[in-house]
Amino acid sequence: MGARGVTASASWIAASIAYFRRQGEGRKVCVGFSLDLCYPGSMACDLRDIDPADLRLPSSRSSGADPVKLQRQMAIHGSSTSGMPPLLAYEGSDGALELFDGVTRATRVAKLLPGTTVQVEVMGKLKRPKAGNRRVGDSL
Amino acid sequence: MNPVNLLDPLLSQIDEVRARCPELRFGQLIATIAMLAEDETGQSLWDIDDADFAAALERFAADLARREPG
Repeated sequence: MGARGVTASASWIAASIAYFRRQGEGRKVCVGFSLDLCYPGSMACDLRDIDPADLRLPSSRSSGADPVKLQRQMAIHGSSTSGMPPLLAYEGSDGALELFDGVTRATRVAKLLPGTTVQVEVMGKLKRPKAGNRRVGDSL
Repeated sequence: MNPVNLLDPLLSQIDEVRARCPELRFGQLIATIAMLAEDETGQSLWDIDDADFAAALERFAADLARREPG
């Protein structure tokens, strides 16, 4: 890993810590997230740039983001995506991505920055299709 | 009815997985494992055997482990 990678990782850690601190979450959470992204050469990380409106909502959160949490994130972050950790998703057999972490972040970006892509980390493939699930864009 | 008591090892592994992804709320973690189990078996969470839930938990742990620096 080159020095450039180290520099990028350090700034990512700082941005992530700042992001979660603004949400009142712990430092340990931020560092864990960032370390995962520090060493792109040594892990099988499937990161994609996706329009958050196209992401599928988890079936246990099919109503969309919690409106109170969404308002809070909008008040804190506005339309900024700076330092925002990647959303986490699984890929259905039809290619549709189902979120399992980041529903509120996806909704905030889809609402305030329509058409803007965000980074999504795809954790693996599912056996069943997911395109039938409600989209984040359907919940706006 | 589950023929073998898998609860202790399940809870122990949930604890380990949770340490790997502290950003997930407990309910989110369980919902994600349930989604994987439902995807694998085609059954709803209510009907999933402990062994199938354990297999989904194992899969999620493996997916998380792949993200970590080697």
